[in-house]
Amino acid sequence: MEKTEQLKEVISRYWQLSDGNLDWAMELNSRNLSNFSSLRMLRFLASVEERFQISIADVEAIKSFQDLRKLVENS
Amino acid sequence: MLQVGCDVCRIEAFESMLKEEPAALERIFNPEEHQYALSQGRPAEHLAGVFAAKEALGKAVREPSLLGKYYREVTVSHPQGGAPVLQLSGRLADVFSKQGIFVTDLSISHDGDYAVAAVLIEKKQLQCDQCSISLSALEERGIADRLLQVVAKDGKVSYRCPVCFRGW
Repeated sequence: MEKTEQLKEVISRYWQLSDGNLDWAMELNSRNLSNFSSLRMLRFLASVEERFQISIADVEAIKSFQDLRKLVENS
Repeated sequence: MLQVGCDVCRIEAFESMLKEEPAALERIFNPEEHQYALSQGRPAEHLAGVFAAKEALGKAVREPSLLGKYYREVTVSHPQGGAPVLQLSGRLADVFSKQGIFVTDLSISHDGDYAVAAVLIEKKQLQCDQCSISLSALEERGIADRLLQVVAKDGKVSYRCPVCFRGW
């Protein structure tokens, strides 16, 4: 499975967003994501790290799903 | 000036993290905290309380997102028979010290599905303990070294401006 498809799977698990309502440029905050919390965000990022064997050292640099997608695709 | 921060956390989230998401736990807790929680009857309850304490600290300093990078530099320990204690280390300790932020008190409680924590911090106007020049006055004058921390043998911390520190 392509990395983007795998990432979509993780996004769907944590944020209940699928192809129809996933906006890659969306800012990751409580206005845009239902059930947003710092803990959920941490769990989500840790899950992405584990799935793609990457390290997200600067959490603040991840402003959107697009930022994450770039990181994953370049890994 | 005193500032308080509090946070509430669902214990259930940590039950699933213990089972399925060890990597997420590693982002938040340092080994000492993790080990302590595992030694308790209900580890998830302890982890939720410690996480709430870390979040409460971010709220007390009015920078909730600051802690995202530094969770592991905040350690909640449990001295035997005493109340929990919050200690800072690494870069976060440095940042807070330079801003005159001191953790004054911490309280953690649990009930049913939730853990709650409150943190009290004191924000001091730092000044040289010899000549009384304030940190903001030094910054306005562009003095690069600003206030230097002096730790006495008894562990008591005091501050010196570069002039007093060097005895000019």
